[in-house]
Order: sequence, then C-alpha cells, then structure tokens
Amino acid sequence: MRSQKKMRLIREIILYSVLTLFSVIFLVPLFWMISTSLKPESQVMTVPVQWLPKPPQWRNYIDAVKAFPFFRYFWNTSFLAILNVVGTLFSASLVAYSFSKLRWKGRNQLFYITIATMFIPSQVLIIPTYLIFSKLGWINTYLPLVVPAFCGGGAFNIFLLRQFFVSIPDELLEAARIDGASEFRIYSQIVLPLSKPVLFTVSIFTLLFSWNDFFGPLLYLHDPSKWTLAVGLRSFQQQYTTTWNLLMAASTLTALPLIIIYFIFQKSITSGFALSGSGK
Amino acid sequence: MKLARSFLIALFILVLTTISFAAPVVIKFWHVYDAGIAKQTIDQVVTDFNKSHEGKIRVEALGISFWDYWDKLRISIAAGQEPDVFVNDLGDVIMRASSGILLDLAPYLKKAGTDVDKTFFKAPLDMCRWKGGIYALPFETDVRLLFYNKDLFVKAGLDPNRPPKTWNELWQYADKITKKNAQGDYDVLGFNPLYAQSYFWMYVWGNGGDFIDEKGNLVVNSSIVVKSLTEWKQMVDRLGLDKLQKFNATYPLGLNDAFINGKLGMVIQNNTFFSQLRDYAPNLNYGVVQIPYPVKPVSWSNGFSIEASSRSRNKDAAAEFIIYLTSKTPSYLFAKNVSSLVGNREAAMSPDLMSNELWKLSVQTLDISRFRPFVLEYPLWYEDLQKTVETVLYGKSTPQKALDDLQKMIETQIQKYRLTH
Repeated sequence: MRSQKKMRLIREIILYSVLTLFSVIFLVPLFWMISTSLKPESQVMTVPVQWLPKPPQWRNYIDAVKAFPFFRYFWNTSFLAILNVVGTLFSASLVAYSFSKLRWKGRNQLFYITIATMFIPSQVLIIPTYLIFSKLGWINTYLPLVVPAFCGGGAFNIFLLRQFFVSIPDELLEAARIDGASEFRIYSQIVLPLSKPVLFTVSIFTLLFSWNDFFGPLLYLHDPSKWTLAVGLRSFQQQYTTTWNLLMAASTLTALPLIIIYFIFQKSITSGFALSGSGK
Repeated sequence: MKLARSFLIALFILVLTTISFAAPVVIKFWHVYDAGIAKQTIDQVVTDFNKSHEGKIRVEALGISFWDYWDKLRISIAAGQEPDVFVNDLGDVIMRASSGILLDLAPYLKKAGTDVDKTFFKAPLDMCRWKGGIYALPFETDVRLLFYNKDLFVKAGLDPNRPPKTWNELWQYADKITKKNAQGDYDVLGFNPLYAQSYFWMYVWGNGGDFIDEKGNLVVNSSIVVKSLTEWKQMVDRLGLDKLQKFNATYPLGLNDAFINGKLGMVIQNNTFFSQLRDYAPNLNYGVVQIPYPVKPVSWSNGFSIEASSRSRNKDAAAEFIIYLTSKTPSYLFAKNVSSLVGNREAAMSPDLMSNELWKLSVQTLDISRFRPFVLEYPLWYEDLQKTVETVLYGKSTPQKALDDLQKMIETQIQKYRLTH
C-alpha cells in the first residue's frame, strides 16, 4: 500500500517536472519578448545575454505606439478578426451540418474534395485568388479578407465541425423532426448549443489566424490607413536596421488581447483543443 | 426644338470635357522608403511634384517595408495590377524589360531634352539599357569600400594613415592585427574574407578576371577564375574555415557587428555602413578607402531603379514623374537627407556633397565599380557561384572541378531557357 503511494508520488514528480520543463521552454520566447520590450537598445543583443532590463524602460511602449498608427491598426485588426470569426462560425457550421446530418447524393465525395483542398499549397493559390479579387474590383478593400469567411470558412474548420456533429446522436434530431422542427431550427437550436466546445475551438483558430494574418492585408490593401497590426509591425524593420526593443513592445501590445482572451476562456479553449486532437 | 436639342448635346459635351480636363491623372507609385527620413524626403518630393502639376497629374505614393515590398510588387505584376511607377532592383531591369512589362523611357527622355549620359552615372545607367531602349532610371546606387579601425592599426604598430592598397598589404596588415585567445579562437581578426560584403566575384574582378567572355557568354571556369578560387581557398584555409565561421556566428551583422565592436581590423562594406557606425559606435576611430586589389582596383555596385509599367493607362504622366524623380533637385534632396549615393551624377557631384570625404570617395569609386553582369537566360548565376565557392571551401571538390561542374550546369540551364523561350 505504502509502496503504491510512493510509486504514485514518484510518477507525479516526474510528470510535473517534465511539464514544468516544457512550459518553461514555451514561455521563454514570451519572456524574451517582454524583457526585450523594456530594454534600452544597447542591452538588446549583448553577449552574455542580459535577461532582465536594467532599468526597465517603460517609455518604449509610448514610443512604439507613437511610431505607427497603433490604435487605428488595432481597430482595423479587431474589426477584421470579429467579422472573420462570425463569418466562419456561421458558414462553416452550416456546411458541416449539411455534410454530417443531411442525406444527399454525392455528399461524402464532396466532403472528401473539400478536405482535399487542404493539400493544395497556399502559395499556388496566391496569384489566381488575387486575380479573382482584382476582377471583382475588391483590391484595396476589406472584402478579400472577410468574404471568404462567409463562404464556407475553410476546409479545416468544416472538417472539425463535421467530425463533432457526426458524434451527436441522430435520434435527437429525429425527435425534433417528428415535433415538426425545420432543419434550420434543428441546426440552430439543437446542434449548435450541443457543440459549444468545438465552436470555441474554431473561433480561437480563426481569431488567431485573422489576428496574425500578415500576407493577406499586405497584398490586398494599398492604403496604409487600412492596414493591420501585423503589417504595421514591419515598420520597425528597415533594410539595414531593426529597432528590436520597440518592435517587441509593439508585439507585446499586439499579442496582449489574445493572451487576455485566453485567460478568460481558458477552460473552454483547453477542452476544445483536447477535442480537436482526439480524432473523433 | 431641334436647336434646343443640339444646344443640350453641345452643353453636355462641354461639361464632360471640362470634367475630364479638370480631374488630374492619378499615378500610383510604390517604393521601399516606408519610415524615417527617407520616407519624409520621398513624401516631400511627391508633394512638390503634385503642387507643380496641380490639376494635371497627382501622384499617390505608397511606401512598403523593404522586406515585404518584393512579394507585394511581384504578385501585383503577375496579376497585371502593378502600380504605374515603382522602385525595383537595378540588377535585373533587363529581365523585366525583355518580358515586355516595362515602358521604354527613351522617347520620353528625348522629348524632355534629358541627356542621359551627362545626367546619370554610366555603370548604373547601363543596367537600364536593353535593345536600344532605356527601361528604367537609376535612382540609388552604392559601392563597396574598405573600412579600417585606426585604433587597432596603432595597437598593431601600423601607421593609421597608411591603409593597405594591395591585397598583399591587406594580409600583411591583417596578420599584425589578428589576436587569438587561449582556446585558439580569434579574439580580434585583421580581415575576414567571408564577412559582411566581401564576395568572391569582387576578388575575381580584382584579379583582372571577368565572367563574360569576348563572345558575350557566361564563363565561370576560365583560368583566372580557377586561379582566384584557388587563392581564395588558401586565404580561408590559412585562417581556418571553422574558426572564421565561429567568428561570423559570434558577430552577426547589425548591432553586434565585429567591426562596430572593435573586433575586426578591416572590413569590406557598403558605403552606407557609415550610418551604422555613427549610430552604434560614435566613438570608433575609423578610416575608409577603396578596396585593396590583387591586380586592378575594383568595387561592386547595385541599387534601386525606378520603372514604369508598359500597361499603365497614363504612360506620359508616369514617364514625366520618373524623369522628375530622378532629376537633379529631387535626387540632390534625397542624397543630402538620406546620404545614399544617387544615380543622378549632377546631383551627386554637388559641391557641398563632394566636400564630404566619404561621399567624394564613393563617387570616385563608382568610376571603377562594376555591376554583376546580367544574364537573361540564367539571372541567378552568382548564387550558384557562391554555392560552388562553398563546396570548394568545405573541401568537397577542387576549384577546377567545381567550376567545370558549374559551367556544365550553366550551359544546360541556358540551353533549357533557349528551348523554352
């Protein structure tokens, strides 16, 4: 009995040390970013490494915000991110519902084709999609960055949602149908409320992707007042020089909303991630 | 009734023409000057142009970070959506000119009465010529120079006012400056042929060699190139490739640059390097001279061109803006504010700029400086040359064999290009 207890203790010690080690490894870049953001420029690249700024230079944050239209870009980024999340949640879940709960000819084939689009390297699609958007007259507008989210929301999201919807018992839906509920009502009042974890996961993935998207805004937006934070951060990197401390201060401010969102929705997010990795 | 109708039509045409005349032609101009004094200067030049062309032409400028500019421009060109005027790489103007996307500026220059040979430096301007046309104008160019640390010279017992002139002197001086630590690593290095802007092709030129033969073909395995690579390997071997690499890793360029930190006696750098020295090492006591040479003096140049799209709807206005941008006054302003060597010779030779020693030296060096020859069938030949040099430095092949192999590959690639174009 005692040896069993001892074994459990040892196992836990090993487990916790491994986990601590990994969390330290993952936290180092974040720590480095924040530490650099508070350093004067002379302390950024010193050998041996200076881990803590001496003294912390809070002014960097003011300078970083002043160096480019931070608040304008923050607003643009938030606006795009919210629209992307709303659009993806709505359209991807509708498509996934159709792929999982409605019966129609060629459904599975079309699902596989949808999945297959994930194998196309994104670089190959850059010029064709640019051409489509330019023919539509959408260059230098937010439309190329928003409309796709409302048109299916991407194969990966559809796949995630479909896999979850499949696990919802058909009996529930049958019962609703007998009661005379329309398909849209079943989707919105039965399936969606049961799928909160996966919807959270999709929201987080979409939010992260949209928030950090650099190439899309860079290509499609020609008017600097429309740019996003990811594009704005580049102004700290010139051909020959980079102001690392200001870049890191601006990066910290850019990452901050995501970190706050993570802490607020921590539980739902971790359960959602567990679900997306469980291979249901 | 009929009269009233004709009157109305006439009025309509009049209004239409007034509107179309009143609305200025809009020229979109993309460039890489997205921050700091360079951006302010370009903005000022554009504002001046717009003011003097009010009601006729309005230039809308967009500066994008140097690191992202090329992707954005390339994709917009591929999609046929490029701006009317754009900054581009002076090294491969011919590639774009041959594909038909660039506007030939020669007729516009003639009309404007610009004598290009008098206005621009020869070497950068030559990079813009193709089949009798001028497909770009050189806006910015540069040269490579030797920066040397005077304090390290004094410490090594050398005369700080007598920098090396020949490659032999360079090594004599370097050996006196070099210091090793207890582990055998370089604490201070006199000269490092694999650091900063020191490239093998410059050494070949310095040896009196060339990569283009009399028939205009790209030849990388001529006896002079093989000899140069053999010497190059000897220089590296004498210092130890692994030790040099360790040194390079310890001092990445930028704030931790070996020269900036007083760990390198002499370095080949771009003429704009002085601005980094001013910002990062204001107290460093250094001198600048032309690069020492084995046989003949030489330097390497590249830069930015200004080009107009042949698909622009407003070609006249686009050409007018390019000619203005590269003319004396705006070029002088850019040179003065940004301290970058402009392609406009008249602007660069302004007496107040020439009173600066480094500026004068850069301008003089342009006379001996060369661009990498552009080979339409194989534009990135120099990258493969660099790889071949590395193969030899790592001892995986001999100079003769490695360069023969490269020559074979080049010929195959050129043949392939000719079959498909």
